[in-house]
Amino acid sequence: MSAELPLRLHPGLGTDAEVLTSAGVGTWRSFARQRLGLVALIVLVFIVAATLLAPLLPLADPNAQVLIDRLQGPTWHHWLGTDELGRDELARLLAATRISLWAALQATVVGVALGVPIGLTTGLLGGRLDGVVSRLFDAVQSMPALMLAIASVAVFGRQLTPAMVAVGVAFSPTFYRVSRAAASTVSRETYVEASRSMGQRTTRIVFSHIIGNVASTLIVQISTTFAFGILAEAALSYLGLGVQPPAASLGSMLTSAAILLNTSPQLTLLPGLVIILLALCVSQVSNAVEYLTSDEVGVR
Amino acid sequence: MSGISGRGPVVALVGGATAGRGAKPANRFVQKAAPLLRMVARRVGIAVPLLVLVSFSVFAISSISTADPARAILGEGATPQSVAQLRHQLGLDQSFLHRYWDWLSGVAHGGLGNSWYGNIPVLTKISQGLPTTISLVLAAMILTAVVGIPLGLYAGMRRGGKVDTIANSLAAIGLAMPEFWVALVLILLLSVKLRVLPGTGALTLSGDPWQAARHLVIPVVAIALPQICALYRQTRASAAIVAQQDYVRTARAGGISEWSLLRTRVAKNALVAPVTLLGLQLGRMIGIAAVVESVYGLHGIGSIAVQAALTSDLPVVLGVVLVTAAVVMAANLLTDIATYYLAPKARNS
Repeated sequence: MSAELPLRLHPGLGTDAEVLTSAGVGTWRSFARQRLGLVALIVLVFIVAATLLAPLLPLADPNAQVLIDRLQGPTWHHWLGTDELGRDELARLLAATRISLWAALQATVVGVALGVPIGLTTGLLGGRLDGVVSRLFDAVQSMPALMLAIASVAVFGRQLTPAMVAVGVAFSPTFYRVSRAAASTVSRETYVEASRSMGQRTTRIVFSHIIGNVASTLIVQISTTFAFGILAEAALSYLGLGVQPPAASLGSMLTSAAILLNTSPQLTLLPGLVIILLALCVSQVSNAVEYLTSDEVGVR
Repeated sequence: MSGISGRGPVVALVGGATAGRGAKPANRFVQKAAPLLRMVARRVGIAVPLLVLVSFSVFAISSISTADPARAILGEGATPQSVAQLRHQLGLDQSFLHRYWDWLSGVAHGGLGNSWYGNIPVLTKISQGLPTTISLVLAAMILTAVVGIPLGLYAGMRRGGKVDTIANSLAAIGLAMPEFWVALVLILLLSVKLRVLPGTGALTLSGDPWQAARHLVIPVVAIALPQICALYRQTRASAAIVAQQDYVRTARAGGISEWSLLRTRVAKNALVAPVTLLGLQLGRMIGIAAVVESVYGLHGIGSIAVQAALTSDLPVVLGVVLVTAAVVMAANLLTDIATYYLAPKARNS
């Protein structure tokens, strides 16, 4: 949940890349960071593969209740034990993670689809339209993502998809602002005027110049939104506003586990650790990608 | 953030060179404050139509929703007649424009409509939850600023040190933690196992202040933890950039102590971005407070909104959303005023 601000509030204060190189930490640190990013990427791919392949793995049905086996510790049959209804914890975690990733993807796609095209358009055109649209996105930004998601549940009932769409809408102003700023800066650059005078079409200019310029910032925003989507899904399902039982979600698993906090704390700890692992991997991958694609590197 | 907003130089418009000199102190103050006041007036002027727009959108979207609030309120077993009767009672059988107009004229008379349950005014419900949410979010903001900013400044001025490395790794993990889970783990550790803090339950602000403060520790820490990490990282990055400036190096070469260097050369410039972030964090904290309040059994506006959402009580949810949006807009304005003082350069951009 760390939408970090653009670091160059004052032009001329120097870029972070300058800070990095002048601080003399150069290559070793950059290598270390990318290695961390690589590890995070491998973990993420592994998790995604595991959630997608879960139905094929020799695991119990995540919703199958075996009451006689309830609240067991780790055994050969249940690697991570069972929950209060005797359901296999590992199978439930995998099913829950799949829902969580899918929900985060929905929010991210909505945010990008809403913010980026409109931002590029108003950034290129400027003028009165730009002013009006920017104020509209200001209005959206004044509503916290979770509050908007709660409102969507009040309107559409307890379903995850509208709530995640609301989270995406709440994050769209960041995408809008980033794309708009990039488009309006780039449209005034000499090389864009040059390509225009050489007869290139505006849409082509947008794709060849602007997208390239804004890509690394967008990737950071995408990963921030995705990570927040994971957290938001968990929070909403925990409150009973998202995924409904018996379906497993990282949030709804915590709801039933909270009652057993005293006797079976592992049921509370496991889903939480999965959430942290997912969000952490996403942010580390984005750090590495940002580092590789951009010459202005964030000081982290 | 829209910053001091991009409508050209604000400062230059006020008090020409001739007027400034011989003026009395009071006048000078007015002159200095005028661009600021103009900014405040303009922002308030924009906020009102934006809030109207937000409320209109909620009404418009609710009119296309297929979910029927009357059925949700009465439950599965309700007869079609009773559903139709309730729909009439709540005005749901009218067009959404008609309903919106009714609601808006209610707002003009100083209300936000009534809850669909028990006809309680929405404002009464919200005012019952406000003290809890305000103390929660305010305490979390203070904690965030008090921990995040000094740590960030320290780490930013000595990058690569041991404290820096450890703090960075912790910040990355802290940012990935869901707040309500942190609250659950803290309850497990501090109130179930160690029994040093009270467990869940509603907050009574009128009673013993010590008890109330103890009661707030877990939710405040849970809300603040990821925000501290975000603010720390932002402050560290800004301080690192400022610390590399020529004027800072010159001062350092001159033998100034690190503390006076921070105080006189670094802090003000390095704080612009963190202060902006802190302003943005208020909105996030209100949203997150909704979840943490529900976990901890606190009766704040967030948990009121969650309860209302679970029961399809649209007027209450709309009221909370609007109050939140107004608070966030006010916070953004305060942030911009703070930036105005911290960064004279940004005034013109």
